[in-house]
Amino acid sequence: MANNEEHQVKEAFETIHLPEDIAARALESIEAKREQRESERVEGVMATQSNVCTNSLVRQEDEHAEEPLATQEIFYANKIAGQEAKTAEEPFASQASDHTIEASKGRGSATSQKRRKALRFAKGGRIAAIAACLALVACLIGGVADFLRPVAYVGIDVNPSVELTLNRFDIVVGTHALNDDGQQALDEAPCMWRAFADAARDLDGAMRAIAGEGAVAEVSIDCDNENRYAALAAQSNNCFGCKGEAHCNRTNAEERQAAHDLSMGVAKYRAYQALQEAGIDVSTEECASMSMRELRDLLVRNEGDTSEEEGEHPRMGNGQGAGAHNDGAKGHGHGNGNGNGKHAQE
Amino acid sequence: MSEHGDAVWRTCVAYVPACDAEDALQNTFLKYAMHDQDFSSAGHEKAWLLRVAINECKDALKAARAKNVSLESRLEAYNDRLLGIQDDSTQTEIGVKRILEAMDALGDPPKTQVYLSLVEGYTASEISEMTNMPENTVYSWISRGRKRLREVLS
Repeated sequence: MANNEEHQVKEAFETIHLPEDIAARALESIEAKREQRESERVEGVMATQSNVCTNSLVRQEDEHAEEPLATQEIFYANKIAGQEAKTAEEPFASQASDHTIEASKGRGSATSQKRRKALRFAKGGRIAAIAACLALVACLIGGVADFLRPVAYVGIDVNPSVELTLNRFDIVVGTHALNDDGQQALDEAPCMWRAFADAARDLDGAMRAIAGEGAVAEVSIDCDNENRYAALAAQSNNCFGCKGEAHCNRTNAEERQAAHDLSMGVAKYRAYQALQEAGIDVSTEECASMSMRELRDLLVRNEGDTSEEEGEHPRMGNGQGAGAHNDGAKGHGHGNGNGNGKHAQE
Repeated sequence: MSEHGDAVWRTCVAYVPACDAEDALQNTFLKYAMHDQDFSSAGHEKAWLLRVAINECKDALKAARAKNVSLESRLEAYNDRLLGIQDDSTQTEIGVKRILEAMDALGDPPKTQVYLSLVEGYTASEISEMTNMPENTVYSWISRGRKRLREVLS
């Protein structure tokens, strides 16, 4: 808006002031309301006191049936009944009967009020308790569902082939054996509900015991989160690379599914594809039964036959990869960066 | 009332005729008198008062609509003495009425947002808190409201 018009609007409103008579009337109104509120409060207090006195009147009547009523008690009882105060000379019996009736009314009304309040409180309390229980159950169900929700899949191919499902806390919430050796490894090294690092260490031992010396462990990680992938890759290299050769690569759900359809792990599936591309005739069953070491050697031999100079390793370590090699200086470096590495030929 | 009475009165008058504005002002300060919690600052206190005043005026407008009271009859009730205009100049008197009519023609929103921004000087973020509206929406209403006000005044 143009400044001039803006200024005019603001100026126009600034000329408007609260008229004194209106302010005075407002203050009077507020004072009147305050006084009314105060008087209502006082009346409420007095009514409460009169109910209390009426109740005490009933109790005293039971205890002191022969005694004449005190003047004050007569006054309060009459106040409830709306009757004029009776003189102390009146016979106690008639007073007692009148006052008992009125006292009973008063007691009844006070009791019914208390009962209504108690009922309201009980009803409200029950509803609140039910709501709290339902909320707790919902939280528990939600918490359990969240705990079990998979966020990463780690496939390990040695020749035993297994896949571990991890939750957001890196705890194993699922295991899947892809062959009989894999099932044997899982039987020997149970992984469920354990931290991945602990489970992986035990699993590595079990798998290498089955696979024998010189086994190569290929780890394939399916994980959307970059940080989580990096952490799992580092853990995998530590766990599976401490007793032998290990390679870590990234995969995705589609590749995992394709591999599982052929009853093999991702690494074996990639090796199988690489062999197919290289024109090596090998069936899926044969591939599934071979160890990773054997598959790698087969690929290397094939490459060695076709090229004497370069040992470019075909398509192992597809995607992001990290390798750890503890055998020695030769023949390592697979799966770094984009997953293609040079293999030094002897 | 001496501190914020003018601001509350201006707000009430911006929404309803002076006769209804008096009721809205009384109700606002009555609620203020009965308000138990302390205010964190004078600014907080003023913002609370204006918000209550606007709500009181909107309730009065709803009641007037329910009774099918026409806009024209309400506008006729604008009286310079009732409004509390202290400047005697005729030009200002006409200007105030014209501006009140123009504000009335805006509709609400953006009337509340434009008023709080233009007249009371609140930022969009403060108006957003006062009116329980997202800040971007407030910006949008202020922009549209100012444009429409310019068209009406011109």
